This record gives sequence, C-alpha cells and structure tokens, in this order.
Amino acid sequence: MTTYCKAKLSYPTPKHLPAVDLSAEARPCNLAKGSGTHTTTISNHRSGSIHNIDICVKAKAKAVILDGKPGATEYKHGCASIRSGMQYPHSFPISVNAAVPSQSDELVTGISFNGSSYTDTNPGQAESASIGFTVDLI
Amino acid sequence: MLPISLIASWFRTSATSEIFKAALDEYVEGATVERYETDIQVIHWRENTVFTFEDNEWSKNEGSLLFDNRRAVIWKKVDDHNSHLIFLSLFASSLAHLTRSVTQIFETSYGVEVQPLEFKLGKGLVKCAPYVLAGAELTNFHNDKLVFQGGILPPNEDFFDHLEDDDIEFFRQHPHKFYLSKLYLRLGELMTETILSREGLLILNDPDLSLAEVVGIIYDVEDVISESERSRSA
Repeated sequence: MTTYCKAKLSYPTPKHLPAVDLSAEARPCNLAKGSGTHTTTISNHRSGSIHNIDICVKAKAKAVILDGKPGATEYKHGCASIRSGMQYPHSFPISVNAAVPSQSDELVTGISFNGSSYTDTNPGQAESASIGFTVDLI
Repeated sequence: MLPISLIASWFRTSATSEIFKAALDEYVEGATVERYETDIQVIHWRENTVFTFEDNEWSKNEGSLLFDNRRAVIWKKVDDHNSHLIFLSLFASSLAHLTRSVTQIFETSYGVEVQPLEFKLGKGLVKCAPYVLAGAELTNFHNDKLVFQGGILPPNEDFFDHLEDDDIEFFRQHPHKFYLSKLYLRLGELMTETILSREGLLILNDPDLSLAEVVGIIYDVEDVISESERSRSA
C-alpha cells in the first residue's frame, strides 16, 4: 500500500536494509500551487561506511516534473560514501507537469549502495531498496 | 555513476504473456515488444534520466547530465502455469524502483503474485562447462566469505564438501560449512563476464550488450534454473 506524502523503510518493515534507514518525502504534499521539494534521507547505522550511493526517483504517471526538466523521466543523484552514524539528506525541486493531467502521482524512490569498498577482487553486488508515496496535484 | 554493467533480477509468476503485456502497458508508454522463439517476450524502452552529483565545483559549473537509459522486462514461459519475470536495468537503484512498481501493478491490477526466485547455484555448478566457470564466492553462516578465481574450487574438505548442495537450511545447521553464494561465469557468444547470485540476481559486466546478446545469456542462465526446478519437483 502506498503512503501519502512520505515513506520510510527501516527495521522491522519487510525488505528493509540491514542497519540502513531510507526515507523520502515531498513538501508541500500538494503541489497544486506550483513547485515543491523532494527529499531523500539515508541513515547509516552500520559500523563502517557505505559507498557508491545512488538515489533514483521516478514519477510513475510522469505528472511531476523532476529537477525542473520536463523531458526527464527519472532523476538520479550520486554520492561517494556515507560514514558510520551519519545521515545523508538530498533534495531537488519538483513541480506539476501541466502536460499530463492527473489528480495525483506516485513518486518512487530507489537507492543502491555497496556495503564495502573492497571490490577489486570481489565485485559483489549493490544492496538496494525502494519506497513510494503519492502527492496531490490539484 | 556511469554504467559498468547490466543488472537483471529473476522472479517467478503465474502471469500469462497477455497479463505481462497489459501490466507493462500500464507502466510505460511507447515501449517496444519483441519475441524470441515461442517462449520469451521482451518489452524494452529508454528512460530519459537526469543525473546530478555531489555538491562540488564540477557540478556547480556543469550542472546535471541527461542520459538515455536502457531498461527492459522479460517474460519467459516455464510451463503452462509458471513463468519467469526478469527485470533489467543499468543501475541497481533503477532496478529497485522498476521491480517495485511493476510488481505492484501485477498484484493490484491483475491479482497475480510475483515471487523472488532463488538460483540453485550448487546444481548450476554441476552443469557448468569448465571454460564457462571463472570463479565463485563461498559464504557460510559464520559470515565468512571466500572468493576463488580462475575456476579453481577448493578441495573437498570438511568446510567445502557440500558446495553442490542448495539446501540453505543444512548450512544454517552447519555454520562452518560453505555454500555457493555467487558464480562468476563467462556466458554468451562474447564470453561476457557474468555474476550469478543465489538471490536471483544476474550482473553482466558489459553495459553495451545488445538485447539479442542479453537474451542469449538469459537462455544459458535459464538452463541452470530449469534443471534446478526439475530436481526440486522430482
């Protein structure tokens, strides 16, 4: 079930990432008056850093313009690492896409990262998770 | 940030090809449908992705980067009641939201379950031709990991005497014994470096592979899986 305005993924929610919390929200929740801000926050509770962090946001119905670029269907932001015990918030502007009439849209946020930077002999794979919430557009 | 691999994740579903097509129509407009032989359908498209980077001088001067970003979902018939659903993306974060969104459509719009699929790597190892195997990652329930490269697997000692076993419960009860958590393979006509993870993930270390080449590798991987499923149901 998709939540409204914000979403959070942390223990004990199913599919949570071990000792890494993910949250995302839009402010204001109703974008009818124009623009707003999407913020993703990643909290690293692990004993070591996490690396190669990738944040990816998609508006399911394309009724929200991401980062002021009407042609973009997906927004991505990269960050090298988040140290143990640190929080990494990232925000970008969102606005209503008048070309796609819709009462609401779902913003889905995915993240991925590597739990270790020791990748030369062990390419391994990124850990990843996603959350979604709806915003009002009228 | 630039793609270095193609990532695919495997799921099991009872969805027919008609439901597959309808669900993807709901998710994305203007995608291309391709059929390979009688049992594989691919729906693929390109996302227009805007990249931004950390707050540094380069980003302040250059701004964001627009990137034409390949994406696909593959439906493969297993038998009259089961199919595999394979999500493909250049980035793990994109794969996460693609999987979530499309799975939701299958479940809420069509009442069809989509379950993650586990690769039986032990049985896969038995099937691998020696020239295909480039290495393996071994894991045990003491959280130890070992990586072997060059196709050399450890001798059959107490720690390694169940590498062809896929019953993870057995390893939980014998936490010092190692199981196969990844296989490093060379697959396809181009012998592409490939990582097959037990949790149903395939990493192809060549982001420029054509769709036909990817489908060829998927047939190779499906050979391993189908053998596992036959064994399981036997």
